Amino acid sequence: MPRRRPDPGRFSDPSLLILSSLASGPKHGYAMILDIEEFSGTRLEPGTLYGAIARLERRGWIAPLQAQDRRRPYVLTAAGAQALREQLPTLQRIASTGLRRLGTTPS
Amino acid sequence: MRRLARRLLRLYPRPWRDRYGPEMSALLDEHHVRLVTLADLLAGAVRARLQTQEERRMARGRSNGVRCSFCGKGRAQVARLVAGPGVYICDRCIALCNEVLAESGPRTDPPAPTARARRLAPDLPRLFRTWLRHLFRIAAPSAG
Repeated sequence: MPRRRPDPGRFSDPSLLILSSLASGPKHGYAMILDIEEFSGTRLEPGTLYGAIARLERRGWIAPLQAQDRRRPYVLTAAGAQALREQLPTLQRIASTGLRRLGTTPS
Repeated sequence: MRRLARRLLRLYPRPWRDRYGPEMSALLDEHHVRLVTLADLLAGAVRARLQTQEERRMARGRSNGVRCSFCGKGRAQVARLVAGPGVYICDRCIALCNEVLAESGPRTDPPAPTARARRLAPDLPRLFRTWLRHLFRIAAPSAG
């Protein structure tokens, strides 16, 4: 696991990071933190992570599984997958617009 | 540092700790705990408390809805509830008001509460009764 210096800045919503992480299968809290750092470079802290987990659980976008030795895995629900599928194209549009504009901005 | 982090978990509201406490503490055993971790947990506890409070307020609002601003009775306990600007008054309090107005006539001094008024609103706190009387003292000249 690459140990990073403090994040250059968090642009990503923790909920989106969690949904994206769970899209590859159920994970418990620490596994999510490692996975999210791996694919996004953002290191979520436990307070932020669990705040988002609680919100997602209330919305029914993720569901808790049976805890194994205190560590409880979470699984992406069908509604959660649907929400992720709807949000990602928007993000992609934002990212490509930003990139395009950066490339074409007259300096 | 880790011990301090685990101690910060106690700042979360009770229902939260019952639900997420064990797994969060398991996570803290593995997590690289830094100063930012502590600040983040503190912020998380504040957010969780605000959220719990908000839920409680919403639950209260759902079960009771609006209530009479004068006697405090809810919609289910009265026959009619009339809305005013930011206040509500129930049919019984209106009847009480009418009665006091009718009895007080054009007098400007505060009328003593009648036996019926006391029977209708036996649970009114004294402070509120005094306030009602003040209200009627102001209203009486134009009403009489």
